[in-house]
Amino acid sequence: MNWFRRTSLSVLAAALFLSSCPALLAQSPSNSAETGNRVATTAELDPATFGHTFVSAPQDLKAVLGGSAPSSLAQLRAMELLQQEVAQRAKLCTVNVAIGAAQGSGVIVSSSGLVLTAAHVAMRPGLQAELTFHDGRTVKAEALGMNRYVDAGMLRIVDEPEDPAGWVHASVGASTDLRSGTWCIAAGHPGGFIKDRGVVVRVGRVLASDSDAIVTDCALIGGDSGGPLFDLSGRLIAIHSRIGNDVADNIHVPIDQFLTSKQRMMGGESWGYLPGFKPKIGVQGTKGSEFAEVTSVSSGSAAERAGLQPGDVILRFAGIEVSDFASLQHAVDTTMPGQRVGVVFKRGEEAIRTFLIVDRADP
Amino acid sequence: MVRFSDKSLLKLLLASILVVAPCAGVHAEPPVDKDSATALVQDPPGFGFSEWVRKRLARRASLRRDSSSVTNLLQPLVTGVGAATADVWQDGRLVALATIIDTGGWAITKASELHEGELRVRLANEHMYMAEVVATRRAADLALLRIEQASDLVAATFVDHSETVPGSYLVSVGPGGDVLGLGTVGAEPLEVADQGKMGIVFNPQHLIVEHVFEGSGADAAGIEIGDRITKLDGKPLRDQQALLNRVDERFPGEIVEVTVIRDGVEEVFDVEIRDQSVLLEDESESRVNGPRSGRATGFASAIWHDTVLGPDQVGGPVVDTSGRVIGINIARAGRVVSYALPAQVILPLVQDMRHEVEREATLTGTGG
Repeated sequence: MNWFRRTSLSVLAAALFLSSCPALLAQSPSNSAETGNRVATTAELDPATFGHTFVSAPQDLKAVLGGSAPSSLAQLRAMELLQQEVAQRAKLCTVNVAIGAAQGSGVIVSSSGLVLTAAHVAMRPGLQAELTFHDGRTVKAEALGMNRYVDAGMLRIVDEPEDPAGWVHASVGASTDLRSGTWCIAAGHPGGFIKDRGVVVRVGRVLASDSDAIVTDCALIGGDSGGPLFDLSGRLIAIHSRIGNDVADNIHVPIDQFLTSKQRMMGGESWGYLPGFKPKIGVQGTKGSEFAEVTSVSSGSAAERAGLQPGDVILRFAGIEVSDFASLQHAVDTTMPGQRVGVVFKRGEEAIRTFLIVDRADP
Repeated sequence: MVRFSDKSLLKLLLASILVVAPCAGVHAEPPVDKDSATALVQDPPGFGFSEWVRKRLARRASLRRDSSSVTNLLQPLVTGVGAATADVWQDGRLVALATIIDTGGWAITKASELHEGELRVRLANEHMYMAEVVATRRAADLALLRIEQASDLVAATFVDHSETVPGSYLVSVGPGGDVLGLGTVGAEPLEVADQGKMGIVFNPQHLIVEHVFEGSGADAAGIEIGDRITKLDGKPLRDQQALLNRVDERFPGEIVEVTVIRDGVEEVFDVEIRDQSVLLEDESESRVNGPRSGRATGFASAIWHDTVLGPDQVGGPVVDTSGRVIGINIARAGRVVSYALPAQVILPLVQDMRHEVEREATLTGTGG
């Protein structure tokens, strides 16, 4: 089964474009120790704290909030009022996220400027991002950590807020016991940021959910990744991740995934890979060796296509300094299959710079 | 509560990653193998489908935003205007919907879906009538139809001004009062810039074609690399700016007559203008977007909504949650977006077109 090749084409294109900007690779220190020392208070990303998107629903909508279809047009209109209010508020804390030439979305979740997004939007710790608000204002941000297993990522706004009270942010909800049928509101920047259009909201319902993923019929497309999914009361319940071919196959990362591993992510740690998207380059080395020396290159692999040979010592991979084989493995783990990355290696006395397109490991 | 614990279905659904990289011209290598997972989801029920998958898909259908319980609830909102919603048939094919605006025989529809050939309109009561296009407004992609000898028409009444704030629900109406779907207004009314292109790259000095995009109108018409463009619509071109300007005036779906010199011989081609974003997308992008209207850009003011429509389901009325007709659907533009023309745009254009028709009728002496 080779379905990955075609479902990941947009990734492939993104990666091709990104790596054609060497400046971007240079400015990615991946210094997780530094980001780890940034202010990270436990009050951030806490469902108990105040958020700007929550709107109290009338008692009459209790069943609807529990996932039922409305039972009268009066209920439908009450839902509409809620949705209009949430749309208005969601607009203020949903941002476009640009890292290099790739664009996704994100949502501010604390007055201090913590931003949730998808792991594949944040890419890797330490990267510089530009966030754009619905009205075109921009601020600088930095990628924190990410859990690639579920596609959860974090950023932090570096600039000071204009308002001393802090950033307008979403009310954090919970995804535990999320009922199928739950009405939800998706926000984001489909197709990337478009001036005079700004944030776009969409309606849908939860069709299925488990602890790793939520499926809804809120229609998403490229550029929405990392954007917020709210319930009808404006509580943030998930972050957009990926889509299937059918318009009702839209997959989101449950908010509980962020709550569970917020300390690790805030600390700049990145781990895992999205199932089916494990990166591989096809070189073997010796564990515990002093250098990242290649002992063999798999036939037909990314490394072979890039011209790597046994005996080559890899010095730098995807903008990350490599000191031994374990650190090479770590550097490969920060990439996505299909991504085009820079490699610097030593052959004899000569340092050689080349590019390779990362392979996907067999599931 | 029913738990969705079967990881395998989630895996079946995987999935495109949603980052946008604006990199026109970068084409990923084409996929080779058939996507067995997706094929399974698309196959007709009972054919390669396991009972397990079928049950789950059925359950999911009942949970969708426009499940039958939701559409039943919406029914009273659309029943009235449903009688004013008609199918438009051309050469035996359903091409669009039309909204009847006057019981005297006037209806409006999406102009770019109509072609040369016999036009028929089927009313909600299943009666079929001949119709003809009597006026069009290119910029809004509106056509005014005259329905022949129909005495059983019901007309839709548009609201004078509609406030479609983001987050509002919209219901799209099908013939006879079918609920086509429930959607939400996604953003404030906006201009959708014209993306129409011939699909060529040419040398700016000599107007010689240097590249023809696959799937473009130029490609379909037979324009080749090396052709030197001399005229558009029979008019000579002074320079590249003239060529660009003339193409910019055209909307997707329109035809431009291109005269070229090839091997010293003059040849003429009819080139269809097509949407640039559609030309540039890869196979995976076009699959997730699904079928779209040929003309999905170039509207001065449109309402963005997320109702899932087929390209032949545009031209019909859109109502709000009070059942008021706030506009008509004018394009299916992609996976996440359908565009509606607001009543404020439609009403003056309709009045204008009717005046035009009356003037012509007076001039030719055929009477009203």
